Amino acid sequence: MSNAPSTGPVGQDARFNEYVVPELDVLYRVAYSITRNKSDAEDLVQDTLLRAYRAIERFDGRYPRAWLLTIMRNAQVNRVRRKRPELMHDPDETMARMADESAEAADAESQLLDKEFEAPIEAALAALPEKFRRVVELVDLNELSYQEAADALGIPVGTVMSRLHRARRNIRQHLEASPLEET
Amino acid sequence: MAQKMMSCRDVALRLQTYLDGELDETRMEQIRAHLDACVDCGLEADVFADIKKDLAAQAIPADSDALARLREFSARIAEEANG
Ligand SMILES: [Zn+2]
Repeated sequence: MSNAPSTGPVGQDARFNEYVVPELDVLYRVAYSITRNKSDAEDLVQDTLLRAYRAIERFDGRYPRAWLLTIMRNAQVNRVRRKRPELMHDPDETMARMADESAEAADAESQLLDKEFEAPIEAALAALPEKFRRVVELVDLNELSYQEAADALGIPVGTVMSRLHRARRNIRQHLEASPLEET
Repeated sequence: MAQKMMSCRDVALRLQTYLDGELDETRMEQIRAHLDACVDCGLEADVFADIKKDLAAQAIPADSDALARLREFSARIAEEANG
């Protein structure tokens, strides 16, 4: 056993508290955006926290959020694989499909809520295909950087950019096509 | 002028990345200067800046109950690992 101060339970806990705990809010938001379900989101964050704790000694301390989002993505891919082994050809697509399925339930539920107050931007966002909406949610709603969004989704930064920019043009068209609200 | 003005086309290509603050400082400054001087590009930037702002307002509010449980869970991981 090494006696170096950075190893062992104390160092491990200190690093966990320093790098991981401050990101809980972001992790939960991203997990919610991936799973579209509160209890699945919480499970996914818990899974991520366990993995992060085990890996914290090997973490170099740079970009903790990006590191955690990568762990979360791996955790999610594993969860999907456990549930639906036949769908594991393209993790990105699989995650999108999973989200679509849980989104259906959430959509049905939200349609029961008063549509009257739905903002045009909300409708424009909801109209986006899932893989575009996901990127918008991560970058514009949850304020992740391009790199962080890329890590969370397991796609290249260039793909994040092209999807995001296309999604925004799409949102703009949607807003321009819908009748103006009286204010 | 010390630096030559970027073209509208160059600005259009980088506008989204500019709005996300993901360009290096030199480029950010070049685009800022162009947007101040060029009405068309300035209006275009305003449209997308508004969209970005409206989207940010759509973020789900923090779920304080879930966060409290996750904080507790974090503390428990360490306890169980050490005990
Ligand atoms: Zn211009």
